[in-house]
Amino acid sequence: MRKRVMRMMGRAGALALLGMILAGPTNRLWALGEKSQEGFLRMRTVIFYDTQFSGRKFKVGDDMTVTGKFQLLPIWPKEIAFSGISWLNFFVPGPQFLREGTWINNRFMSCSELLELGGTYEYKTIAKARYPGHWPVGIMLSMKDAGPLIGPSIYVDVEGSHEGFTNPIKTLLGNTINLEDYGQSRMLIWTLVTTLIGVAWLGFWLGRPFTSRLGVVAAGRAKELISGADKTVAVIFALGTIGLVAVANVMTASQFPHTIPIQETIIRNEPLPPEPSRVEAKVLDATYDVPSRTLAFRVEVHNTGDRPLVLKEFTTANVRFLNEQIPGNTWNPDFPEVYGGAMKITPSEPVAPGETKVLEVVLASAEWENQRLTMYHETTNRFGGLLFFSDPTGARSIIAVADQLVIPRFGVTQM
Amino acid sequence: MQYSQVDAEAKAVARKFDLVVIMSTFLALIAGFHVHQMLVAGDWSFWVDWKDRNWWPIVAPIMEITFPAAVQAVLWTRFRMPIGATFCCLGLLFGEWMNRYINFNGWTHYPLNFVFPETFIPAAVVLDIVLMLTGNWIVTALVGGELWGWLFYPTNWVMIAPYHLPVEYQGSLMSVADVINYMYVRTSTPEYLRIVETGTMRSFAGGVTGVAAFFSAFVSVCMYVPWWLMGAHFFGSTKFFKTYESASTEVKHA
Amino acid sequence: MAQTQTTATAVARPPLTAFSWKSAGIAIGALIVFDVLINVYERLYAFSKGLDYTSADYESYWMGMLFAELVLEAVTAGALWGWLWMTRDRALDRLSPAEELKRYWALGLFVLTYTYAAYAGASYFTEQDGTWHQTVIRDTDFTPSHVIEFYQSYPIYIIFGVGSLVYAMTRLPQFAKAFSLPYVVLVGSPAMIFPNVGLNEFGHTRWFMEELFVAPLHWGFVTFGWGALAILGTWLQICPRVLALVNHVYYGKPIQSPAEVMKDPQSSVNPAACAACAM
Repeated sequence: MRKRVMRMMGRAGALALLGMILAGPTNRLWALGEKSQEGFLRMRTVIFYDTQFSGRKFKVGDDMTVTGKFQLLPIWPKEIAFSGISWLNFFVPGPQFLREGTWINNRFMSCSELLELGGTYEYKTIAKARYPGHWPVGIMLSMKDAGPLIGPSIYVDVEGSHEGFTNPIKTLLGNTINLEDYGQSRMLIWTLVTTLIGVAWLGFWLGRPFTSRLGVVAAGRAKELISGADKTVAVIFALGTIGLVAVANVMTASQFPHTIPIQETIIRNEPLPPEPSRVEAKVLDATYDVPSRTLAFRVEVHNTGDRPLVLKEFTTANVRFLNEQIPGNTWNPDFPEVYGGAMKITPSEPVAPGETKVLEVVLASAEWENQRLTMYHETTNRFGGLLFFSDPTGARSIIAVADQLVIPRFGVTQM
Repeated sequence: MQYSQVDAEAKAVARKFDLVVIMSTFLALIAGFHVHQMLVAGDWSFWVDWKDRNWWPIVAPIMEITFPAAVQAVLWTRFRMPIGATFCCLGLLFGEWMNRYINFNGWTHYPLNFVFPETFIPAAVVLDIVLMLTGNWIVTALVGGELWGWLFYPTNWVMIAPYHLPVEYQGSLMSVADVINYMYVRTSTPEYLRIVETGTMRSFAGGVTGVAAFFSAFVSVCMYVPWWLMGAHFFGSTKFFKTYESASTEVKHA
Repeated sequence: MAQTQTTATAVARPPLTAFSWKSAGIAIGALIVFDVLINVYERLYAFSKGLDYTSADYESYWMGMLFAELVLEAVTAGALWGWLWMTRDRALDRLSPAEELKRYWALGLFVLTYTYAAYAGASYFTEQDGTWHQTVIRDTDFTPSHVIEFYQSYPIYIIFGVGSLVYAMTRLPQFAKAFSLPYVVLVGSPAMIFPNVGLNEFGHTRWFMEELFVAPLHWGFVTFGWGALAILGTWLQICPRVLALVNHVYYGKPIQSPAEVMKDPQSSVNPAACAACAM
């Protein structure tokens, strides 16, 4: 009986393991850990938009370009430090891609940069495929004291082989080096040589009886355990080791006469000049209906321009909601963000020049739950994001809104 | 039964116990020393672009003279084995290389020249020999501790010098190590997280490394003393607590 | 040793085969094979199924593993420690020297296995966690690397460490009646690394989002790791008794009886007792 149970359990285990192995990779887009960050943090710190990845299939050695913009929202929550010291990071699980360069506002990011609260920045990252595989890649902003703030991500497939991959760069001394293994054999040889000294020293002593020395020492005969020859060997080891290090350093100095320390500085990067805004918007109130997973808010819009404006899009935490009543404003599966769904706006007519009116925006979407952006069980239940207005010529006005407390509607009567 | 055969058997058994003691101590020391080292100086050890001339030669030696001092306190005073520091540092190096090679390199594909660990072996052999020749732990703290601090950077400079060549990359001046960090993406260790030299007075004849080693050697001396004492009197203690019977009798009387 | 007599000793000697490496070879070999398989599993499924703890794949590949291993560990710990206790020697004061020597050998192999498991947990899998965190974005405490490191490799060495201590306390006079300070530190301090995960994860949840490995938040692990040094004191207690037993069994030297050792274990750690052992 026991044997049968064991056998069955064994079979079930083997089947489960086989199933796991066969399931293999899928194409579903996953999050990269951002869901562990609270909603208010993701909605009110950095919003990435216009993000574009230059493709989803590459060969080893191909370049991938990621472009887009991000805004450090003026409504940055005070609960989260804003140091401004930032590193526009690239998500990839290990260097399966090489970052050849990141440019922020057309300036090469060689070190961390000081960015401004409320500023909008345009970036470009070029990365070269290095290892074949099915890799999640994405854009993110690391800010000192605030941590990783995660932008849109996609899965890419890299084909080919890493075999023979090289990464040559030219030093200021004129020689070209391959960073894939530059200095590696030197490092290995030195590690090996110094380690052998240690192993030899250890072997010299551990070849002798060990534990019984305890008794000899305790009996006051410790002197018998170390002979004059031992001392001579020790002196040779010590002087030899120090001498070897000294000689190696002299040689290193002559081989590398021009070296510089690790470069460390922080460069200030001015935001893009503010675009002329043709609209003012202020959220009046907001509710989140739990059973129907619907965020609804009223926003007072004042058109300060000379053309009618429509609200096209609301983007927050890499989730985009589109006003699909506008012709052509529909979801494209190539977008790297998450599709939140349609945005319902009442009244749906454009806001005329000079007009002030209150729009009711309804965003019903399962993504509030899927992306863990729910606003009813955290300490800070406030939302934020970017509203995209557009005039008939297609000119955009982008406004960071909200900072608005959200009132949940649970849809049940508590007994 | 011949005495010689009994004697041979006894020696064989004693030698087997020797090996168990040596191997288990080696493994235990890797466990303790490596978890200590990686969480007090690990970032400098993981990445070539953290191996600067200011903080690395301070943090690494003063954090890593600890276990060697404690182990010397027992292996020297109780066994007259001048191998405590070498024993620890070889273990540490083994532990580091296992993960650097299998995981940093083999799994996540960082090139080895980005993630190789520092070595303490030359300094450790010297520290052991200073103790052996002087036979005095205070002198070892003073002389050996100084040598420990001073030897660290030159020992490792041989390996890291190539990564300090200057490069003009995309119009910026960077060292090779900076470029490696830049290209071989390290998602959760952004550039600003590095604790590296950010500027200095030129008060030590213009040198940075020298004053770092000077300071490092001083703290190494200071660290050696408490760790020797901990090794000798706590980790090397042979104390048994009161037997259960006498302890419970005392409680009853009280 | 300057003895030249050729007489046989009166005490029964254990056969040399009693000092076989086999059991440790099997135990450590099995642990190595297991660790390799775990590494293979991690390479296959950590990046592909383990980046988002809200996904269904994560649930089946990693949470499933977590629950399975926690149950297995609890059962193994209970079974091993319980069995060691239930089968304890109730007549330790009549233990023969040859048998005592054999048991010390078994204890040595037990400790050796423990130290391998401690190496795998505190060194290998802990730095592996550094590889993981500095490569990905912090997601959940139950992230693949932690499922392996915290909830698997640490409990495994705790099982062996406590197991070896229970073995010593139930089968060897020296440890039968009094706690040994170094042995308790050797087992207990690294064991505390596991509960210290509570501090670590609270910190990472509450305020700490950057992956600085040397951050003070991690220093709890460091302090408990120091306990591994107590293996020095543990061997300093064990070696004199072992060498005294060797001297007695093979050379017929006088030795403290098990009853005396049980009554005053401190007296058994005098290294002078093994001064006469073969050099």
